[in-house]
Amino acid sequence: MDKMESKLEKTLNAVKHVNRVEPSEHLKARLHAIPEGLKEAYDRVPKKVVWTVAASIAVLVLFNAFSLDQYTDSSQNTANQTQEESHFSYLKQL
Amino acid sequence: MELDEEKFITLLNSDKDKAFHMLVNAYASRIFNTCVNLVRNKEDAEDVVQEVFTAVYLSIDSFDGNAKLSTWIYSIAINKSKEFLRKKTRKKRFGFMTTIGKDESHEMPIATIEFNHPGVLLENKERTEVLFRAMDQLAENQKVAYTMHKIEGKSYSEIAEILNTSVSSVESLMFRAKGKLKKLLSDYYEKNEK
Repeated sequence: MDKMESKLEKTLNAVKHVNRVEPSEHLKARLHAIPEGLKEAYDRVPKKVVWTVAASIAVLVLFNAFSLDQYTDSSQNTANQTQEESHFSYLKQL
Repeated sequence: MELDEEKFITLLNSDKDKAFHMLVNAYASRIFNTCVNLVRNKEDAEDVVQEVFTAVYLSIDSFDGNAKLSTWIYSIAINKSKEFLRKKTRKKRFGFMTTIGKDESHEMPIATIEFNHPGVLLENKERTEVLFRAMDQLAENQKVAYTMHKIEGKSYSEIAEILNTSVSSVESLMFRAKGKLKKLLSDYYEKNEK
């Protein structure tokens, strides 16, 4: 085994010297506090704000649905009208 | 500490918080080691572990026991670590790796994080740092597979489950990782010995 190969071997074997590490007590405490922290964050947003946002979204969706419905109706009427007009103009030619 | 999964799921249905604390006690150490081996910095690893357990708490209700609990948590940890590394990396080569930068496969972003692995003793630090810097040049999944197998002692089938892939894919990842590491290191030593 030449010098380079032994160097490579030693470096690749360096993983064997990586020891396990225990998390600190502080980290464990932080992890155990996650449920409380999330609940606090959830409670910090007033229920009134949540309901107002939900109602606004609902109104927006309804308004869009209504507009779409109106648009579909009007484009259908326009299409029918054009069809009738072209039909009668053909009769007129006769 | 091994966690009884059946007991855990029963507890999860009755008391989510208690089940979560049980999970923290069983997995905090293992997940911390996985994260620290991937991000190589104690403080960063602590932040990633916190993100992992927050994600676990938020989606714990959807855990139905189809997959192994450990596999599920490990995959969250791997994804969070990858996410963290992507944020912390940039496409700039370290001076000592420039000789191998011509190959397109070495265009991986390199971590700019400081090497501060708490599990590496001072006398081994230099050699380990060289190896870890070379590992940073590997493709993401090659790096994860190599770290989990070589440092954490996970079997190929365990890694396959965590990465949601086949054992043969893990074998191929490991084969390519070893080959590339050898090339990176020999190039590095050749350049530094001159």
